[in-house]
Amino acid sequence: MDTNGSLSFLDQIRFTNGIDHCKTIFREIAEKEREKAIHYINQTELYFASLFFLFPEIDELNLYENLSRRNYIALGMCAKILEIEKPFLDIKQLGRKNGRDIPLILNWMFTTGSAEDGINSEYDRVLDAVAALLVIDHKDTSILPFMVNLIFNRNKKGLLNHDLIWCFMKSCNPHVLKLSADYLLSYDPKDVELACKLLSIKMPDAEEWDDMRGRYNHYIAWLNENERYLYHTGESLNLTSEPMYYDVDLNAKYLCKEVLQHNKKIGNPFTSKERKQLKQFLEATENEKRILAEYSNRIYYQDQSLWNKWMHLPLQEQMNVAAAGQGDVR
Amino acid sequence: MIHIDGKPADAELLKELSKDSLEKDIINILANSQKIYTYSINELKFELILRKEIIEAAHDLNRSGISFRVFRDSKCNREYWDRMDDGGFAVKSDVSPGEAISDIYKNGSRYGTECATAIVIIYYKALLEVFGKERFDQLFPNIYLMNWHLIDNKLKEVGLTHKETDYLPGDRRYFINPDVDPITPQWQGENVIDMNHGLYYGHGVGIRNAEAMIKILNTKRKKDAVESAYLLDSVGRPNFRNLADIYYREH
Repeated sequence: MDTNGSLSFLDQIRFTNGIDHCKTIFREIAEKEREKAIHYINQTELYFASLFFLFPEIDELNLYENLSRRNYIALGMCAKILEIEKPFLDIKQLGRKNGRDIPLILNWMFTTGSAEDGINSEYDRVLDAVAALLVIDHKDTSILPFMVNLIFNRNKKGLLNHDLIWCFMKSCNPHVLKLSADYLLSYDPKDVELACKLLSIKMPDAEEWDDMRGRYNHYIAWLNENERYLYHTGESLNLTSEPMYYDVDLNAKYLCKEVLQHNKKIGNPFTSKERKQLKQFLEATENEKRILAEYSNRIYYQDQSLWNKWMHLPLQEQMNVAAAGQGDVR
Repeated sequence: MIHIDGKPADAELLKELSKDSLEKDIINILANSQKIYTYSINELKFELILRKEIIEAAHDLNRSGISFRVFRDSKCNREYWDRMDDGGFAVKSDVSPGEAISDIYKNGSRYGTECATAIVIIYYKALLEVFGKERFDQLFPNIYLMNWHLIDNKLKEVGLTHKETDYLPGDRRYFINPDVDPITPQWQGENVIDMNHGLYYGHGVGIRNAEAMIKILNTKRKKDAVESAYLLDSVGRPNFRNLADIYYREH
């Protein structure tokens, strides 16, 4: 935790003397000078962890009405996630999407709170749910780098990371693959093992461990080639021991049209020509589709006029050219 | 269609194997399929026995009193299992794995876990019934129960799903819930056992038909959900052939 910046009073105590001391000091101040305690808890610099661990004191001292909107909503979220009945926190009225500031508050909870991950099970459960709300409901991709750190840190410690992996992948953002691929370069075999699982690639053979940079480069080259055509499959660790989280939409790759992540559909309406091309493509075998899609994508970026000519050929002729790996259809 | 030892199966033989209605139903599906299912007679017998035990184990787990709990709150009988930091259960090194599995059925109220783990428990219980305690303990000395994670190598295929031509009683199926409320990821999908006659067992929801399963999952969606839960067209199956090989090596 970087404590060099501007720290709130309560965070300073927590970092220096621990949570229990922070709780004691807060209670003492609140009993003597209620306004001062409210000022401290509402400081804008406060980290979410301090608010979370002072939840019982805030409840006991009935400080809800004096909380800032950020803190009120954050505790309301905690109560909802942990299924705690708190009459003063009318979370039903909050509604998860009511208020433009809700994503900002959730983001504050996660980004200032993730450093304390692992401190207890309830806290981790809140972090997981907040992350899920951010990436799935609010499409906040800014937290993905924080999430990947948490996933791999928990993996090292043998802690539960399945829910976090689920929402990380369900963000429907192929960038998560790049973030996971970075761990192929780790010196820790546990990181590499998890990275391989997240990327749906096989574990390195004995000799491949010596060239993880090469393996990483190979994967990144594949990702760069296919990123536009990837879609989230919906697979998870709840379904299978070997989920393939993202797969290539071969139809999209063949037409060289991007897959829209929000609905997994190929972007932009098809022209009549594209519909015709797709119709003949769908008649090909799976293996032929792979060859055609790969070839189509390759020449599209090399020479679009060449690609146009190739796309106008009958399927069998397309296949002959693609299988031969020829670049010239003139 | 069923082929036994490379030839179409004799109708009399299939009739002989259809000792009860479940076996009859399974054989009918296989025999009427477009796909050719190849077996030795022992392999087919073994698959029928194991599928029957899978369904029995699902019925029994449903009656056991085991509760539905998320991994963070999972619980187990510490006499037989160590509860791990990820919420999984590892069988203690000084107990019989077979007895540890049986204890889940005897003292179900002392256990709580998610749906996938419950399905793994069912498979282990079915194998325990088929192989017997002594052989089971030799085959599965280190059981770890946590969804499809770290599943024993001899049972790893149930952790994998793939499309199949036919669905059979005893198969693992999955109801997926794409628009689940992000706060309750435990309802992202329901792992179930095909109980025959259009019924499924899912831990936490009981034995129901597909419509009822979907209805329950749909109540667990987010407020602005647009997509209904649905039954995936894939299945998970143990490697019956390998398990049969192991079984007949000893009998």
